[in-house]
Amino acid sequence: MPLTEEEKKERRRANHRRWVAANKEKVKAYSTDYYNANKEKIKAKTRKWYVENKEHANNMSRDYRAKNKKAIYEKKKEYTSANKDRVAQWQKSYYLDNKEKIKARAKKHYLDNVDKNREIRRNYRKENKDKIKEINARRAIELPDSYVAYQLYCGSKLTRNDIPQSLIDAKRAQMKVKCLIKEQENG
Amino acid sequence: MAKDKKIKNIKDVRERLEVLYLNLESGYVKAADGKEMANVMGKMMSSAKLQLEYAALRKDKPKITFLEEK
Repeated sequence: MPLTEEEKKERRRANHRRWVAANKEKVKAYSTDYYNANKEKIKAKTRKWYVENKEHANNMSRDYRAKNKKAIYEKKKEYTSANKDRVAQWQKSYYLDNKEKIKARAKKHYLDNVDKNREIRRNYRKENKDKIKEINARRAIELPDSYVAYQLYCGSKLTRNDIPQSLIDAKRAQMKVKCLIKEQENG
Repeated sequence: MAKDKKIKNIKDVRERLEVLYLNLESGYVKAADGKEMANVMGKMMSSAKLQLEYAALRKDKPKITFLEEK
């Protein structure tokens, strides 16, 4: 029985797919050469298609990301570890350019997930008791600004921003003196 | 720093405490005396802190000359 137009089309497609699968390297080489020779034209065409089909393109990206989460994550990890300096520089410049936006986003996320964050912090404290103890012991020796300021505003209505630097410096000096006195008294 | 120099601001408090630290280390000042001196400085800082708390309750921006380093 003679084939219909549709069946002929499908058979041609299947043959082409078979040929491509059997000649992957050839096809890749050809595609690369074609792309390099027509870069600007292809980019313009892609851009035009994207602008005309934005919603469709975004849906396609979203679906792709949803189906390939793990692979995307692995690739990102590989790239980051191979380009640490570049990534760090990019992240720093992005932060400097978008400080307010990032802070607003972080604050919103925090306020939307207060209970969740509390739970995360509680679990962290439970699982890392020794580490926290070690950090606190080190901070008691080094006396960073945050530690000294906390000694001042803890238990009062004041916040970190209410404490001036001059008061922190003076408090630090007092804490050092008290520490020395304690050492001398204990021998 | 002269012994009879008055403490005018928080910077003087810090300087006095730094001198006290050195004197304690060298043994020029005894631990008991040093403790009392440090306590007195602490009381000065607490009074400044109290002024800050009062201003915070009033939602005011305080101008406390003692905390200025001039």
